[in-house]
This record gives sequence, C-alpha cells and structure tokens, in this order.
Amino acid sequence: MASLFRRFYPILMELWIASVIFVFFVVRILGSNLGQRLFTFVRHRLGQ
Amino acid sequence: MKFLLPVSANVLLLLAAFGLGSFLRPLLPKSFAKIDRLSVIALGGFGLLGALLFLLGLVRYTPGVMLVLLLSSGLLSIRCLLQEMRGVNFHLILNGIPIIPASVIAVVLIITILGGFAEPVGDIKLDTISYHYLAPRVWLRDGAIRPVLDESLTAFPATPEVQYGALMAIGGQAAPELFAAISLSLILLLSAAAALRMGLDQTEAWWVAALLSAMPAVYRGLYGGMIDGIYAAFVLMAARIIFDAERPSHFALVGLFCGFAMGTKYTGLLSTALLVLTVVLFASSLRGILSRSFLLQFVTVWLVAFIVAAPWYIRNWALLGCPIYPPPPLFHHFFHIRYFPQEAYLRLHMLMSAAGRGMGRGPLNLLMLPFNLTFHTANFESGAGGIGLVPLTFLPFCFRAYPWNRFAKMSALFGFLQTIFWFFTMQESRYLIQVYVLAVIFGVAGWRNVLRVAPRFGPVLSALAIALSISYGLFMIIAARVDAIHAVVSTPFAETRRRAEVPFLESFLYLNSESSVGKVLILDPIVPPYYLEKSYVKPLGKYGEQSLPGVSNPREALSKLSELRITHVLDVRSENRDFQVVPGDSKELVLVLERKDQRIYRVVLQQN
Repeated sequence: MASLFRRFYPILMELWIASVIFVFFVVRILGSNLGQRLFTFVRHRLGQ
Repeated sequence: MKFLLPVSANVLLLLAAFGLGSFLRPLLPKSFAKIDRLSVIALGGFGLLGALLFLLGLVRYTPGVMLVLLLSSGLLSIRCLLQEMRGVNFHLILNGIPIIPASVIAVVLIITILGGFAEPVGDIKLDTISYHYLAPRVWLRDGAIRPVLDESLTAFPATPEVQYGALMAIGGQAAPELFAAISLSLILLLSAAAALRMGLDQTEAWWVAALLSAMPAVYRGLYGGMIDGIYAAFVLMAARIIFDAERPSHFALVGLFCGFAMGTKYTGLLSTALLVLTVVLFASSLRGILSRSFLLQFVTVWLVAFIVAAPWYIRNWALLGCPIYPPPPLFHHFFHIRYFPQEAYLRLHMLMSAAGRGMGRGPLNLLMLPFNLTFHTANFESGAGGIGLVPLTFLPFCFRAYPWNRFAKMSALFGFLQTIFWFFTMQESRYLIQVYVLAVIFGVAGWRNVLRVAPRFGPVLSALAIALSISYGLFMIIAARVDAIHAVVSTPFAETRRRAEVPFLESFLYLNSESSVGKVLILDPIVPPYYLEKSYVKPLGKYGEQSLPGVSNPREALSKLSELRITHVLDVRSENRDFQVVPGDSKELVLVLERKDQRIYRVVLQQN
C-alpha cells in the first residue's frame, strides 16, 4: 500500500496543482467581468 | 516639499525606532541571526516609541515634544546601526539576491512609496478617515491625547496612530500614508527571518517575502493608516521569540511584544493567551507545566505585557468608564459606560458581528475555508482581497518532507489556533495576516517538496501557479493604488479626486480658510471631521455616541451655542437626515455659505 502511494504521490501532486490552476481560471478569470465580456465577444463572433 | 517632508518624517521615525530598539539588544537570545536582531530592534523600537509617545502625549502631544523625542532617539540609532552592521558582508548579500522575487518586492515597494505621497481622501465609512487619521489630528490640535468622544473607535489602543500624529506634525497630512512602506518592509523582513528559522534557505526566504508582498489581503492591512500589518508583526515577533525562549530575559522580551500587540488592538489580549496556550500544549508533562520555572516564565510574559499595555486600558477606564471601549456586550453590568448609550453600543456590536460573518461559521464553512479564502474573497463584507494560490496549492505537500523541528510544529499549532479563533469571532481577511505569513512559509516548503518529488511536470505547474498568484495579486494591488499614484503625478487629477471623494468639501474649505471660525458645531453624524482644521463639537457620533452629556439630538446642541462657545454651525443634508436648521428661524444664526446639501451659519450672540 505504502509503495503504491509512493508511486502515485507525484501524479497526485501534479493533479492537485493543475486542478487549483484550473479552478483559478474558471473562478477568477472566466468568472470575472473581463471573462464575461470575453465570453460574450467570442459568442458574438461565432454567431456571425 | 510635497515629497521631502513626508520622506524626512518617515526616515526620522525609522531612525528613532532603531535608536529606542537598541535598548532591547541585551534581552535578545544569543542564537538570533543578524536578520532576526534587525527585525526585533526595528519593530521593538516602533512599539517603544508608540508607548512613549502615548505616555508623553497624555500630558503634552505637541510637535516640539515629538521632535525632541525623535531626534534624541534618532541619535542613539547611529551607534546601534554601526554596531549591528559590523561584520555584514554586503557584497555577498547583494550577489545572492534572486532576481524574480526581489523584482516583485521592488514593484510593490515602489507602488507603496508612490501612492504614499497622495493626500488621504474618502468619506466617514472609511476607517482611515473616520478614526485612524482623525484621532492623531485632533490630539495634535488639542496638544494632548484624549479619546475623541464623537468617534468611539478612537478609544482603541493606538500604538501606530500616536506615531501617525508625529508623522503629521513633521511631514504633513500625507506622511502617515508613506509609513505603509516601512510597515511593508518590516513585515517582509520579519517573515524572511521566520522562514530561515523554519529551515528554508535564503532564496526560499526571498520567495516568502515576494509572495507575501503580492498578497492583496496582507497589503490591505498595511496602507491607508491600517494597523493590521503592524499588529500581525508584533504577534509574530512574540511567537518567534517565545518558541526559542530559554532565559527570563527572553520571556520579558516576549511580554514586551505581546504588550505592543495589546496596545495596538484588543485582540492582542487573545493572541497572547493563544501563544501561551501553544507553549503549554508543547510542554513535556503536566509536572513541567506546574513547575516553578515554567509558571515564572508565564508570569513574566503577562506581567510585562500588562505593564506595557496598561496605560491604554487605564486611560479608557478613567475617562470613558470601561477599559475596553467601545464596550463588549454584558460589560455594562460591571462598568459605568460614559458617552455611549447602551442601545447604541449594542447596535455597533451587532454591526461588527454582521461584518465579521465573512465565510459563515458552520463546520462545512470551516472545511471550505482554504478554498474560499483563495477563490471567494468577495464574501468578506469589505472585500479585503485574496491570499494568492500558494497556500492552497502547496500547503498539503509540506507535511511529508518538511523538517518538522519543534519551532515549526509550534508555529503551525499557533497558526491553527489563531485561525479557529478568527473563524468563530471576526472574519475579516486582514485580521489573519499573521496566519498568512505562516501559511506562505509552509507553502514554500511544500513547493520545495514538489520540485523534489515530482520532477516531471511539478516544476512547470508550480511555476505557473506561482506566476498566476503573483500576477493576480499585483493586478489587485495596483488596481487599489492606481488612483493614489495618479493623484501624486497629476495635480489636476488630485483636485478631481479630492472633489469627488471628500464629502462637503466646499464647507471644509470655507471653515478652514475663514479666520473668524473658532469652534464649529457639526450637526450631522456622517460629516467626517478629519477634514476640519478648526476645533469642533459633534454632539452625535455615527454609531450613536453622545459626546455632550445631556444632549441627545441636534436641537438640544443648538440651544447651547453660547455655553459651548460655538462660532459657526455646519448643517448638511444626507441620505438619512434633512437640514436641522431652517434659515431665518433663529436670530442667533446667520447663513454665510450655502452649497448643494450643505449650509454654514455664523453664530451671532444675543445681548441680554
């Protein structure tokens, strides 16, 4: 069990860091006013 | 002069702090490194300077007294600095500075210094204007430190604010704004010293300082007269010393810093208790806790702390009827509270509790705290800003590989206890700065572990997380300070900002420039008297304070004009109240200025 944990620990580490970055993008960047405007702009362009 | 006077005042204050701090050198533990010694001397000097200025100010708070104290203490600093700098290899230090974290710190310092030359503006809802800067301004005008009765929050212990008064007297109104640069440098120095003590290397200590400087929640507690940064520094310094303390002199030094914390915020009392609790929990046995030497150590801490902080609490008790003022609920059973009706201070307490609800108080909220502190800082009523990504990203990884010496374990427990206490009392992000410092130190330790354990993608992902954390923090900090910086470099913008953000500006300009104005009666509680350079009476405070015994409404104050020696009356129309005086209604009052929502009357004393 311990060796299994040691084997997957680095991957878990990387997944955790990647997920924090992902949530940061979703909550703080895409969820912000700037993100909303960007989203509207992209949707508008795609609509055209 | 716009730049020279504030800079000179702050440099003099810093030198005076080093001068007074030099008296603490014999108490320092021998194991302390140069960086520890410097931070203790500077921070302890500020604490001593605040305590001394307060004691002197109770009798005489004038520019002359301040200059004598600052110059004499400043002279002492020369010898202290020369001795402390002996043997320091500046060439080695300069060569070892890592570029990226040093650049981040430099950017934040430059922003702070530039913004520090701006004139303070804002309405009475802003703590800066309503009490942090109001109190020293009134003390300076009155020539003595007394609570400002119409603003109960000026009765808070005010170790930093008494120094703002000295800065105002020497460097003008903008000088205390520049003090933010000193506060920032002090807390970064202290954090780097703590990081080194916890086993991080020099480069990692630089990263700790850089990540803290780009943390909006920490920054919010440092500028605009806010005292949370200095308070956190006092608490952390007490923790730094007590976790390594061995001799009675070390415990006396801890007591001094606890006293400074109590003399800065009431929560210093609880932080001292938590600090002692941390040490007790780490004691080897119950017999050890009950031993004579152990008890003597804690008696020393509490005794010294009480002696240092007592003047603030005794002053409140003597003048306002209660050592802690505004009084907490139930205190009216034990004390005779003056100038503040019971229903008014209970309402203030309810307002504070509502503001401190923050992230909620349930078990799930506690579990979600790291996530919410990182991503949902707008949940705080005053939106104090985020803490960056580092604590959430790297803290989980510091547990396995961290060199958990006794000092690190005690720091972690102290941080945990502080967080729990904060969670169940007053959830305002900037009140937790001392914990953020510890979280960043452990976060950087976790980052080191990531680089070691996950060499494949760990370095790239870590770099991305840190880059995002710093850039977002810098963006928030710059956004908060951009107006102040713009006002410094552009006089027309400074004027526009002043007109937009100073309420009832025309009235203040008239009252400050008119030589016949002696004492002003301010009728509406929402008028911020900070902008008034003349003596004033404000019978009702914004929280319902009653500064004049027997006067509970503006009408009653108007009937006592000659008794109060009022020369002018300022009457305004606000969101909740209309004008109190109808022009021509009283022969005693002659309208001399009328602008939108503001009227000034000159008092004509009737001959009987």
